[in-house]
Amino acid sequence: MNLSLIIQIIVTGLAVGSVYALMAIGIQVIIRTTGIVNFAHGQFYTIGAYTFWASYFLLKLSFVLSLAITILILLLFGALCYLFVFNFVQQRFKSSTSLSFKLLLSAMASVGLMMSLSQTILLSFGSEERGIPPIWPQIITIANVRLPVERLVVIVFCCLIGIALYLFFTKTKLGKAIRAVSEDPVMSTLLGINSTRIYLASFSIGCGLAGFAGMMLAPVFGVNPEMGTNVVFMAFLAMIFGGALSYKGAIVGGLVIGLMLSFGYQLIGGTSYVLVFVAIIVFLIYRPGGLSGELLE
Amino acid sequence: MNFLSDRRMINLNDIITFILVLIFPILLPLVIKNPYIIHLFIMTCIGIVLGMSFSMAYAPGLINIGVAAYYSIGAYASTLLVKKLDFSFWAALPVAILITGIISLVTGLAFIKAGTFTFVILTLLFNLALVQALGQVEVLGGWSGFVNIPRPEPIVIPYYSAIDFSTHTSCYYLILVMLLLIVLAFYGLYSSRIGRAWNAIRQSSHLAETLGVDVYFFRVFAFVVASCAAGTVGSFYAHYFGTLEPVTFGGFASIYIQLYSVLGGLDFPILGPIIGAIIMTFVPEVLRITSEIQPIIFGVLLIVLILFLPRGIIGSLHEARKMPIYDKMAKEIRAWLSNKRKTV
Amino acid sequence: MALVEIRGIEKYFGGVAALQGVDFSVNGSEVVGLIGPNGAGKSTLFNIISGFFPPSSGKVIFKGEDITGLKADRIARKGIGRTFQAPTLFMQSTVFDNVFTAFHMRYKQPLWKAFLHTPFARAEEEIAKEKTMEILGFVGLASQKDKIAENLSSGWQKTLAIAIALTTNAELLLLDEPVTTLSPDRVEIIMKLVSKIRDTGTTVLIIEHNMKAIMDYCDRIIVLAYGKRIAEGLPSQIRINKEVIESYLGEIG
Repeated sequence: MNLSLIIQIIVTGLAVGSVYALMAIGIQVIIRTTGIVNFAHGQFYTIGAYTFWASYFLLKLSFVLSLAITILILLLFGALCYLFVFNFVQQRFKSSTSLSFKLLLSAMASVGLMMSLSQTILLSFGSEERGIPPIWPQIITIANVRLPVERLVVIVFCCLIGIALYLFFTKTKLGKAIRAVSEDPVMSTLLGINSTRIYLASFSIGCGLAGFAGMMLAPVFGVNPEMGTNVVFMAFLAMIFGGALSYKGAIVGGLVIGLMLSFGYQLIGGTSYVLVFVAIIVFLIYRPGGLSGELLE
Repeated sequence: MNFLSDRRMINLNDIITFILVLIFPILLPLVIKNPYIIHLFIMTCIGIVLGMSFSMAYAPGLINIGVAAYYSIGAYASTLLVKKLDFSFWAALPVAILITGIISLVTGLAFIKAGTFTFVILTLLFNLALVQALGQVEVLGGWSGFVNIPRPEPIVIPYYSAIDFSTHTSCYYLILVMLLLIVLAFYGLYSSRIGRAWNAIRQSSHLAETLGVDVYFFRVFAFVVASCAAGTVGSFYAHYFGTLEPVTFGGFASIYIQLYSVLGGLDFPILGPIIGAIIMTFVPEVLRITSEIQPIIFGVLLIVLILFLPRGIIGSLHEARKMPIYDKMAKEIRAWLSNKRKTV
Repeated sequence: MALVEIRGIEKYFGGVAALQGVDFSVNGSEVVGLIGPNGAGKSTLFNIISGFFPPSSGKVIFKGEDITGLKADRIARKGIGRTFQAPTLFMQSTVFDNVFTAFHMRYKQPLWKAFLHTPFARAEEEIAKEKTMEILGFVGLASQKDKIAENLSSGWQKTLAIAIALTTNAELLLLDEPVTTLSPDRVEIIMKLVSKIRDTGTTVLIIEHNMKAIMDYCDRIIVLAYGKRIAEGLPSQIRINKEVIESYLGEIG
């Protein structure tokens, strides 16, 4: 294996990994703020990918415009889903119902959403894979190493979004409110933060992130109706691996999993994904809190 | 609401009700001859057990969205034992259950330790990963799975005759017996202090711990027993249906299983899945819902259920019964009846 | 020999010291009040004694046995019961079920026999039901036995919590703010119940902010402030203790 190949594997791993990380963060924000485990996240990812494909490829809009449309549509769609599906549950079953019941209801709602969306996507778009013609020049060569540009772009974009998120959560009012609610829901209500709006915002943002992630990988791997399920699997795994209570853990987890898969695919082929899963489960047996070590009850 | 903890011990009343309720399923094949309908009843029985598996894990607060994984383990283990190691079905069945038990123990210990939220995610991930593994590994059948899995060998009754399992009807009786045994076992658990410990854990694991309940043990126990039940019907399914494919056991299957439980009512771990499985098996047939639209409709149904009928059908009826209107109606009816008696 | 000895308990959360070396002991059949300004570490101490987390250092000796660091359910079996500040009940169950379920660890028959509903197992359950009614009578909840716990008034909820703690047949009962926020009538009813409990031979350790309740009903008082024990003695002594008064005033000022 020469250096060039290794670097390509690493770049691919990081690219895929940063997408997983982004998805994982989206899921985490939703869980930590609203307590909803959003299994439909993969479908938002897929919708993002298809929306981008439709804007860029079918409607031949510019890259930037397609980007904007995708993100907007995802944010909106996420908000709608929250309003119609989850909001009711959050309001109706407040304090004294057992935690298990509330968790069950939102898990089931999100699973129901996942099923309906997934099948709707399949029926609307058909099961073949579509490709997107390359947006960027395919390969650039730096210091004698051939690098796949698309994947570098993914990494760059994910970093940009990561920075944007960081700024959002630390500098803006809404971002700080979301953090407050996810850390201490009771206190936040006392401080006058309207929980419904925050839940709505976090859920939409989480979905927006998923859509963005879908858009990122669409040019690289093509779009097909199954893409959401595979990615969300890894995203959840990354979140658990990194520790459900830690955003940094989710990022590290995502990147590590991406790299493992990338190397695994080269060395072993398709089954590497099962092996990664098993490896992480074994890791969890020794360290149930994941990398960060804290347990989420 | 835990309906079961105020269950008195099994008494004569219960036994009589049980027997009466049994008459319908036992006499069924005498009335219905159409093999396809018998097939539906068989699938309903399987569905009931799977729904009960979900409910049992829910009793101490675990939400197992990957029941189908353990269902598949039972099916695949049994098939492999019979096909590759020449076991008879009757020998393969207990071994398959044992294998399911071991795997559920290992996964249970790991997943439950990670916390209830993480548990939900991990069970689903395990389900998806298992399906992938079954599909990708040729030894386990690959994506095309297995065909020509033999029916259970006939049971020979000395000096009398043999019970042969080549017909749908005989398979129906087999699954019915399995179902009954499992229901009995589950009822025994729920009405004992094990069931009460589960209820306590679900409502407040904190308080349960203060009262000396080893929460981890009871959760793992519920999970393993529930998964073994799923594995049992899995083994039956493989040999009854004859073919086995990984996709049957994917994420959607687990979600349907959840639906059986929730539709009936989560507070009713035995009765709920019965109602739920019956409805979910027969209604799509009656309405001729094609398998393409099924996931969408069921997905929406799940959401609608949660919004409007979170306690399930039985649960909602139960709640409705408590409403003052019914009390008034009941009083009026009683008054009317006693008036009638006076005039007569 | 003292029933419970707390020796040199320290607890750090991150860099913050919640408890810095607490020592005291409690004997059988007494009602001891544990008071102190907010943040003094009282609830932390309870959590350590009842096994929810271990201390950073120090020991808890119960009936001569070192129980430091044991998990909550093990400690419950040793004979220590507790209630919580926030109402911690089985909210969706009836009052009767709350107490009946709580008898869990007092059964002698093994679990598999319970599953099979053997005659002995059934007999034990009958006994548990009788005892449940006894306890409900003792605390005054017998007439509400079929009410769902979340529908009780908060005074009765706190009483139910005590009833649940009583099922454990504990020798040491830790009550965390059993009468805070209740009306004076209710306070009297519950504190009289506590005295009744003491008279049956159980020791009760109470965290409370209601000074009247503490002064009127406790045999002894221990004062915690800034993670340390700053005073101990009879109510009459504590009432005039300068340090205690300062620590409370300091909190208000």
